[in-house]
Amino acid sequence: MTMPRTIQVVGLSHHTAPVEVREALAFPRARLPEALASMRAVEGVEEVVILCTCNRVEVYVCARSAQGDALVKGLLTNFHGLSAAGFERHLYTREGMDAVAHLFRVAAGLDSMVLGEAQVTAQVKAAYELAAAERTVGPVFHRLFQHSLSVAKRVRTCSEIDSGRASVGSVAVQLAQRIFETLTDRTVLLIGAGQIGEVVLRSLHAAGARTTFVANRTFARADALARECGGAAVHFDQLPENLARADIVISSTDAPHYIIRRADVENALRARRGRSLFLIDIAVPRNIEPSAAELAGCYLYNVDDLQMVVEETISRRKRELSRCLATVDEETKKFMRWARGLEVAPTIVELRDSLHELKRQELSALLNKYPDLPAAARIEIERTADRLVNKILHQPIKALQEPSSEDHGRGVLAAARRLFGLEQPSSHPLPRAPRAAEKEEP
Amino acid sequence: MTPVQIALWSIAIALYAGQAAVAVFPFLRPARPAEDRLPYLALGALAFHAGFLITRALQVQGLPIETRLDSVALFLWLTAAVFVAAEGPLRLSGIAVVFWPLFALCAIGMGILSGRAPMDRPTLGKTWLLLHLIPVYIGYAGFAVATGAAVTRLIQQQLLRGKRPEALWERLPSLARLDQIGRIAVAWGFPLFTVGLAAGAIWAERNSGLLGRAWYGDAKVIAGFAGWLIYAAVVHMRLAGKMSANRAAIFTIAGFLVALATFGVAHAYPGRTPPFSAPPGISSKT
Repeated sequence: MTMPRTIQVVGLSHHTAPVEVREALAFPRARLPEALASMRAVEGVEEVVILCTCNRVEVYVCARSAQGDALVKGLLTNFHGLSAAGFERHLYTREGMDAVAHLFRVAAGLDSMVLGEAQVTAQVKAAYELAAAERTVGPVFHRLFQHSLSVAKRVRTCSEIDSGRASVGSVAVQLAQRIFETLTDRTVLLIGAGQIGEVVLRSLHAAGARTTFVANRTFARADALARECGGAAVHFDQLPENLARADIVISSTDAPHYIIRRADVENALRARRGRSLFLIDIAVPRNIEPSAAELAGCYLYNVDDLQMVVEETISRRKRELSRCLATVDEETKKFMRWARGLEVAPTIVELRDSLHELKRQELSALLNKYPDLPAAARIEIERTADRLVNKILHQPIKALQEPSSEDHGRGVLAAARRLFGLEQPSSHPLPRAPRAAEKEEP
Repeated sequence: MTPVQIALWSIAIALYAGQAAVAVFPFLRPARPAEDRLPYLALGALAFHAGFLITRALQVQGLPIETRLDSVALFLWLTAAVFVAAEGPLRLSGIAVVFWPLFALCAIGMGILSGRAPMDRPTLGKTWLLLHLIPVYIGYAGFAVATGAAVTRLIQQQLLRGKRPEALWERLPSLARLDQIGRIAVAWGFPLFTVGLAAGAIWAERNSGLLGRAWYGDAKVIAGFAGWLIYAAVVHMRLAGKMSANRAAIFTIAGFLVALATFGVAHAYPGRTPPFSAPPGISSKT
């Protein structure tokens, strides 16, 4: 009998490792085929997929051995030229059902830094497609990864886990889109080239905003950033005229006073002849006089306003988490039933063959002993023997196909093999249960 | 009205109410983008509503405006038809959440208020009826769409300015989109409304002998003209770039309220102007 397969995932993520460790262990895109091939070349490893994103490095292995963690440690050590001592405490290992559930959670964005983010689904798909192209996936991982993508889709369709925007930059973009419909050809004015301001500017730029003016105390810095976004730097004393030209203004200077006063906004709105003006004040202390928000056509948001929207989105997504995890649990069980069918099928065949061979031998002996038996009696005896074998097999096969738990299934399989004198496996016949210490962080 | 007509009208109203519910309930599910679906219930309602109007037209042997309910039904059918027809090209699905509930309320309210009271025989001939009534009603239908966009705009603006973190603002169209819908709807409705009013005025002036020289002092004429003035102001000021989108939304709603009041005025003060009433003894075939 061949050794049963074990699904394992070994890796690290933002839950367990700081960015420096994740960076050190990341597989460059160009070298992933090489890593897949070297892992696949290890004896006992049948299928491999490597998922490498900015938040996680995970190696999924389907092997006829439960030594996946040692194999992956070896791969990471050799591939990156690092000592295992530097990263092994950040590694986690999941096996069997836990590994499957983990992949489903990852693909659905339930394990992501930003809960519910959709990008990881595409990354899982890309990892699977690359492995398929490199021929390091077989029947188990084809089924597993395709199933993970359908789970991700089901989770998103049946819940609000991906609703709303979960970062200040994306909230700013969405608000701008709710005011202007499209950001194409909209003009953005960034006052002060601070870090968050720059993030928001880049988000707006990525969403289609084209013309950009950057005003900063350091003109060279403003000029460099403006060039990157296809715009121009302006001097601080040109702010009033640029305020009227801009549709969206981001203010993020560290000035201790208001840079844009209500009167400035009033003048700008007048010059804009009723066109709306979206002001994002992410500076602390604030740069834009708050009473400007009272002006018709002016939409003023400060950093707390944006953060409030982000927090609402996150809490809304968290409320959805238990429903999503229930879906993952249900799909994991579905997959495990399929995987178990794959695993117990050889034993069931062996069991049937063995008992039917026994029946054949005993019948042969009996019929040789009574050669004068009428044909009708012979047929009836054979039918009775068949019925007897089938009745004997019915309960063990049922127990093998429908175990009450993974552990129970493993025990039943081992017991069946022993009771019926089948060849014993030398290792775990089924995916092992997780070790308590490997449980995922909350 | 026959039992069949009562049944057709009741089913149409029920389907409009159903369409309103279908538009509102998915919207209240947090942060799930409203799906663009064909307004099946509204299409069904339009079919039953058309059945009602056709049977009435066959019964009265002409345009169904014999009773106040006929007149209201014709106006409501044109309004719903204009909205459904424009839903695709103008991408109106975003304002359906506001439009259909308002429409259903108007339909139920106007249906109850107008009752089955017969109107006096219309004094307008067929040609003048078509030239006056139909453009005015289609114009009102355009204003109704613009009002739906205007109400949605005020709600969206309030949500955006209120900085409420609830995700409702994510689910409504952008302010720019709502402005555009309002502008296009008024741009189509206003010329038609003007043509209809002008046709009515020309007829009234030509037949001043029948209606009296002071036909322009009739309450409904004044109410209709007030509505026209409001929309004329909106069109002019927006073209001149002197009216903010917010103010235009408020004026659009005000104009439509005046339009609704015109029906109320005609109901309360029948006056002498067509099509609602005519002095005793005046033939409809003028």
